[in-house]
Amino acid sequence: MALSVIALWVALWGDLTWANIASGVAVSLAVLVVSPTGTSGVRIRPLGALRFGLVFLLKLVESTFVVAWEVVTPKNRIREAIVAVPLGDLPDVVVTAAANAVSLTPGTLTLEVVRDPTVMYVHVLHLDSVEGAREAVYAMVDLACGAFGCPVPVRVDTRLAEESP
Amino acid sequence: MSAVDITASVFVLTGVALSVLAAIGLHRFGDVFARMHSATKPATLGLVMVIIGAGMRADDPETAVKLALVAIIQFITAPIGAHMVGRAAYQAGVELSDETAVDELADGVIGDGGQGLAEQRRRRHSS
Repeated sequence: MALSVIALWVALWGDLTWANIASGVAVSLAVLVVSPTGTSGVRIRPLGALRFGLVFLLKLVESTFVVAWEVVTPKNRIREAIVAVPLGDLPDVVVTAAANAVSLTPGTLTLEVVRDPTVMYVHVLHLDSVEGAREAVYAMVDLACGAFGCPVPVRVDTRLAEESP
Repeated sequence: MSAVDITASVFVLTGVALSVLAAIGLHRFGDVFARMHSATKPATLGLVMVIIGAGMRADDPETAVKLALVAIIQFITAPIGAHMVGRAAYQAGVELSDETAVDELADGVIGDGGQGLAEQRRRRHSS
């Protein structure tokens, strides 16, 4: 992990000099001390990661046009909502990747993520149904699971949620 | 003008147009949360298209690598920025727009995970 941060640092400076490597070591250690990453035990699955990346790019293009259309049409049909999406006990990296991807896919924006139990709160721009919005987020988490591997099922019992009006 | 020049120009101009749309969206949407939608999606794709266009005209691989890094870092940071702004706005008690139909964060429908945030919001509102 430290090596990849150093590599990124040197690439950003663009020169492979001792000064850049030394400052890269200092920066990467500082970053990793301040924000430990939960990457232990997580293996990237190349095919799943590729699929995650491709779907993500397609969704980014789609969502751009959805939002752009919303911007240019004068009469808006926006129906906003904040939807809770309960998740299984997933690795940090999966939750992080999914939360970022959700923010860049059509009509959804991650507002808050809490752990124990893991719940992702998502702001929705066009609400058709709460279940539909939840399913869209689950689909993205499934893809993130395909990329990094998940020890437990993504979906958890949402009976609590369905009881609410 | 070569074909590469024309393609690069199309990418850059499309990217700029998307960025302009994102800016108009920031102005037009009803609340902070809807504005964050505009600040993430079209703005990110807009920047990426400008980067692709610039990458086509890059003279050396070093520049291309740097541009690719800019795109990757944008993918990572833009959603985090929007997430933090939205979270802070919710916590600070910013009004949701009239079009908001459901707020499961306030309702605390699942577990009690979001209650810290929702509680802070209520406290801000009552004071």
